Amino acid sequence: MITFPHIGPVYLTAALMLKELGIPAAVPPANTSETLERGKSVSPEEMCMPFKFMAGNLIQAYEQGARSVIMPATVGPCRLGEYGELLKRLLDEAGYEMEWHLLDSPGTIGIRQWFARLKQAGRNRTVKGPRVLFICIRAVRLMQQIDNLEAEIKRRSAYMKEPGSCVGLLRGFRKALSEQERMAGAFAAVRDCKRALRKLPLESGRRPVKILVTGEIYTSIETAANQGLEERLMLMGCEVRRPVTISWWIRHTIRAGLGVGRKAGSNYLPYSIGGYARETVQDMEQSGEDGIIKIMPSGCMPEIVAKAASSVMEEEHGIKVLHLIFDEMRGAAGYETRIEAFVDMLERRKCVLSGN
Amino acid sequence: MYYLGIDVGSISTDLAVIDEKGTIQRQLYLKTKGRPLDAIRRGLGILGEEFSTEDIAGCGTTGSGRELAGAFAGADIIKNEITAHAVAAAKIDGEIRTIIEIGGQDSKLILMEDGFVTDFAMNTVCAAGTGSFLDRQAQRIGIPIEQFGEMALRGKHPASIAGRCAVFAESDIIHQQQMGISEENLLSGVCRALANSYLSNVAQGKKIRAKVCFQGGVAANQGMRAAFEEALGTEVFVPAQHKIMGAYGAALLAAEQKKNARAFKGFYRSQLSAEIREVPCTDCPNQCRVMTLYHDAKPIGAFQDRCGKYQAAARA
Repeated sequence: MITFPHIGPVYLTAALMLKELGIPAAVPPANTSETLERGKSVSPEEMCMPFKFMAGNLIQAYEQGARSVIMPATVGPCRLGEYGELLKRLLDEAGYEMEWHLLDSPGTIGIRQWFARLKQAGRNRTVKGPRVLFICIRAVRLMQQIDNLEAEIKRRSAYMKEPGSCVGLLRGFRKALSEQERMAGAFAAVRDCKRALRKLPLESGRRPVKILVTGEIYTSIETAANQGLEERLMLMGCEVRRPVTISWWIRHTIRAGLGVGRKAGSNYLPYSIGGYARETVQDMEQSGEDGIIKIMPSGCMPEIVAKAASSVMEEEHGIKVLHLIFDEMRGAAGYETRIEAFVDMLERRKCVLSGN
Repeated sequence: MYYLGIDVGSISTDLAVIDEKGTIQRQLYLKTKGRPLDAIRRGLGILGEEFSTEDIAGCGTTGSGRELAGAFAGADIIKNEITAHAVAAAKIDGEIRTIIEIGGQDSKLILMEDGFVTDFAMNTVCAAGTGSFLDRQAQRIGIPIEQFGEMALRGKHPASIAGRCAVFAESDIIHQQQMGISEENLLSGVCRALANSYLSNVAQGKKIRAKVCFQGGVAANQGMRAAFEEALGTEVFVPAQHKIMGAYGAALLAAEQKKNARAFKGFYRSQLSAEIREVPCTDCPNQCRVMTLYHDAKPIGAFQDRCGKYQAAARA
């Protein structure tokens, strides 16, 4: 059986795609503190939290019978480009030997090599011919639709009569997706949820605080790693935008490898320094929101550099940034206090700036 | 009509009752002693002798135990300490532009402009620069914490102590003690180290502008105030209500709320014994560890459930 590490809602699409391709797959259980404990048992102490989560996923999947892994990675300056290799080696040494398919970005290993690795990973498929391509494209489209819908829910959440109604909808949506057996069912779930979103009662005259969530990709996408930051913000009645999603990543990584798409650039951080620090800084620079929450796991080098750039921006543009550093500590009180105080501050500022 | 504010902190639990104009009618400063629920009950018991439940039009809670206090006493508003402290300081003096707040376990810096918060910072990793460290050092030297500040003021040649980490600082203090340095100079050195570590770790280059207000339990320590005045080169104002600023802010926030339904459950709760049970909820991947308060096997309050369904169940 083949497996893959978790990152946000990606498992929903990946599991369906593998099933339709006829490749037996094991989906690791959702990220919990148990996952983190398992991951910590094989990781070096100072390793970042996303790595530990992923290691935990793979150990749990191994126990479910998975003997082969698809690991999407990007060969960047982060961990000197050896992120995937490092994970493989640590798990091998700990006795979890599996066959690894390291899907590094096509831009670095070459598009031919990338397709070769992909083919190798999917060699046990029962579906042949052009249908394979069709299923893959459909999966990417499903992922895009899920990401778009979730973004829409987070945007509209602030205008609802009940701030919690969208949180409930989002949870229900994920649950409905996880129960699907075929991609067609998942597409139907997306349509159902869209319809339900339109039916939720709105309240006119709301002027919510708008917040941009940006930062390290794994911590921003995976809710277990950021202690449900976006849900918290939604419940506080904020409009939330997070430009970094899985479909963004697919576009960014694969298109760049194919030589299409434009290069990111920023006045504050013109070079790629690993991770997505350059994109984070660019997001912050272009943000029109009332405030920015920038998140990263403890010890994340690229985002530490981005933090330095953000202090300059704070001074020059008068933007408001809250830096949140997530680690293995599960106590939520400190985050809660900071997030709430930040939202309060933006609310009052907005009131004063608009002349009330 | 009166409004009640409850601030449950790591070291102290404070309660304040204000009238409609925002004047403090009664204030309480109680030691939490690691049992927040007992402290809240004690506080409600004392206030219950002077006020009747019907007089309380609204209740606000804050501090690290705000959710517990909110679930037990019934709160119209549960707010973080930063907002509560800022609201209280702005009410006392509109000129305040910097708030230094040092409590038992955390320290905060709040920057204000025209009475509203423009920026804030909180200590991140450890409690080195906070009240519990001062408490421990006072204990070690064997003087009551109340006399700490007074003694520190008498130290004319502060000992140099590393304030970056509580463990290092303690080794430093022991070393200086063994060198025969007087207690006055030692304590004054501790204050100076703490003030400097606060300015470099919490303030981290943020611009501190006058008027500076110093509040929280540690503000009672005159030695700390003097150390901040020396480091900042400006006068530091300590309001008379510095110990209960959080509770005052929570009460003010409750008064600001325009709500018809009153959430305050009444002073009778001080007689209610409550048992707290932690129930891991497995209904969704959040896996909240829901805290539910039981009295006579009936739920009377709940918190830490992100979706809110346990709270709704306890209200019914």
